[in-house]
Amino acid sequence: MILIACVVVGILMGIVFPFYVPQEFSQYLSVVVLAMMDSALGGASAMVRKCFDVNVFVSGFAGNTILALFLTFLGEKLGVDLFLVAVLVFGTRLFNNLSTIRRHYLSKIQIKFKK
Amino acid sequence: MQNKDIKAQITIGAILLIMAFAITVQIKSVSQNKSIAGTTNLRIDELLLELKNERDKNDELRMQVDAYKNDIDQYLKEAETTDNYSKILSEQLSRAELSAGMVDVKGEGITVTLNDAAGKRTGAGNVNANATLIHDEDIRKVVNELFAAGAEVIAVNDSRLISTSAVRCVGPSILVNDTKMTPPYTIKAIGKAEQLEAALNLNGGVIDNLKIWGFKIDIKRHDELIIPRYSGKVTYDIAKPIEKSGEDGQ
Repeated sequence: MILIACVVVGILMGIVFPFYVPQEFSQYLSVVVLAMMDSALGGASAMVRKCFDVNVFVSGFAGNTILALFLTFLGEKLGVDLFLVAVLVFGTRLFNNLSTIRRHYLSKIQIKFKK
Repeated sequence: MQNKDIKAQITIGAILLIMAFAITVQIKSVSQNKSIAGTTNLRIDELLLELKNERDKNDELRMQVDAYKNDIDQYLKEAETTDNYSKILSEQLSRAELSAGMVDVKGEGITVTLNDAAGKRTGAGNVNANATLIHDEDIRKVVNELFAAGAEVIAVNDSRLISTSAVRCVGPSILVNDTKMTPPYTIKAIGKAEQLEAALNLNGGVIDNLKIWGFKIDIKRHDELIIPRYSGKVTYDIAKPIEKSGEDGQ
């Protein structure tokens, strides 16, 4: 419930927000968004596995974001789309985490039915 | 356990909040940027219109200049009739104007009409399209030859060649003075017609060389040829005449 509420509040804030991101920064922003998605899903999967740790979570998010931003910046300077590396890794992890969560709840449901 | 879960949810929720915020802003920005791109296209159309307007204005101004020149002519005529000294002055002026290309002139001369070669050259298989076109270089050659043969006044498509004239290439067209032109190019030259024609038709001369490329070249003699004056503006901002000091000192 808290999570959904947070998403809704975020969207509302975004709609109210009066500024626009310049086009040259949109690549950076999308990478950051991906990093956040990855962290959120990673945190959720850790939560269902009962091994969530705030320190790990925050440091992981910060580290991933910084590395992704750096890669994007470097790629722009080198003329190679290095941000794709971040996109690929985050994307893969998104699906992995999602499958962890899915399996967790599936097994819960199965246990219930067996009872 | 429950407590820890809520802590985790809040942390993840914070990230989700920022994420949702960023995504919304990003989506808004993308659509905004698109509409900005639309306005730049609009700007190009506007600029084209402006350019056209400016050109029209330019033409009008040129007409005005012509009108002023006529005025000056009339004043000169008046001055001639009133005073002897001014008569001499105006004679000098008209001579200067003649050599500067500021007056229409007429006299015996020839016209040379150059046109691009039609289609493929005979004999060669693949012809570079460039080779069938008349270039600024070709026109320069003809003009040079004519001046060398004693032509006094030359105009390319009625654009008078004066002391600061240039014949150069701009994309698909040729620029003489500041006038863009496309084929056919008619070069008018005033001078001894016979002499000019002979100079062009020398064996291995300019015309022979141009004919190799298959250009259509037409030379005509005229008893009376009219060449209009130079219509642009000539400024000498940097060049200054040197004063003659010999007359008083030595």
